[in-house]
Amino acid sequence: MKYKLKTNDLDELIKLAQNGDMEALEEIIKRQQKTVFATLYYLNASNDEIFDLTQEVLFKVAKNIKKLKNPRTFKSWLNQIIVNQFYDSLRKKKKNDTKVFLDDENDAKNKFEVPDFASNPYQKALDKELEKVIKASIRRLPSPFRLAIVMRELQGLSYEEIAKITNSNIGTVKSRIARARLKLQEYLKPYIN
Amino acid sequence: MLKGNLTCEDISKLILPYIDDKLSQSTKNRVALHLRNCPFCMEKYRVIKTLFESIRQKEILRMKKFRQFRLLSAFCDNEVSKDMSDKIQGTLENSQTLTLKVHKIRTLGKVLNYGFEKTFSDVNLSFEKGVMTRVKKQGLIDKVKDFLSSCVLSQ
Ligand SMILES: [Zn+2]
Repeated sequence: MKYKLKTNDLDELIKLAQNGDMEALEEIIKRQQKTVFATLYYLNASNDEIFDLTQEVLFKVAKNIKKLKNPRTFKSWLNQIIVNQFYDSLRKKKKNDTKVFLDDENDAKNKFEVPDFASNPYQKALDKELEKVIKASIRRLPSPFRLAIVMRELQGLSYEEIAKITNSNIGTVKSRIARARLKLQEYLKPYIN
Repeated sequence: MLKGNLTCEDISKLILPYIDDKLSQSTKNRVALHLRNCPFCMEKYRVIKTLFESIRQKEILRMKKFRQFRLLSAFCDNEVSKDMSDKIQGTLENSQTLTLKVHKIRTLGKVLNYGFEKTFSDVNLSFEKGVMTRVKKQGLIDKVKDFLSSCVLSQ
């Protein structure tokens, strides 16, 4: 790996990429792919499209990186792309499908098998169980609540950034996050107390 | 418009808008006059009014509780002003119920984040190659387009 790619500083990589450094750009994609994938997963993208969506988001990031004015805003810029891409796909699906798209309908075919190499089988089973419960709980949330809590807890965005991404105001974001938390506390009760 | 004195039947229609304060001043006065003179309607009015009042109180209480939770939730995200944050901090020291609520919000956050981290800790993704190939291809297409449009312009 080249010297410049050792940097942990995302800002620096972004600046390099904006100046046409392809290796820096590749490094950014490499580092961001997991968070993009995970966000789409929790936003409830179906398995047959989650790879395509991730690919599409990362391509847009790479293609448009020069348009990002302030590297500091990368995270919220990235999430804007994720959210737009996700809702675009929902809209297209609605258009193509004669039946109404229901979140839970995909559940059966949504058996995403995550390869697991953890050494401790007991811990492994526990993690898997918890992960399943968390995903199921987040899926049960109405989609505006789901979006707000994923942006907050998974992506760590501020209320202002979430408001901008979801085209709403801070008060609404505050309420949605609170409602999501109340519901999740209820669904995840055995794990929280 | 109702003419003359209101009948008991008129009152049964007007009683809900009267309680909600949705009548004109003159109709309101006439309803009040009837109620003063008719123990039957007065009793009905009292029962309905009490019922509505208790529903309203419950609703207010529910809203208050949610507003409080919403504030605590924002507090946990560091999304309240410094003043408010100090105020909440002070209140927390004296209230076990509130402390428990904050604790639950934070625990939920930890549980979620633990789950998020675990979800893909073992997955190896390698989108970068495909993406970079597409970007380079796109770059080439853009260059050709630029070249072609510059040819058109220079003609
Ligand atoms: Zn009467």
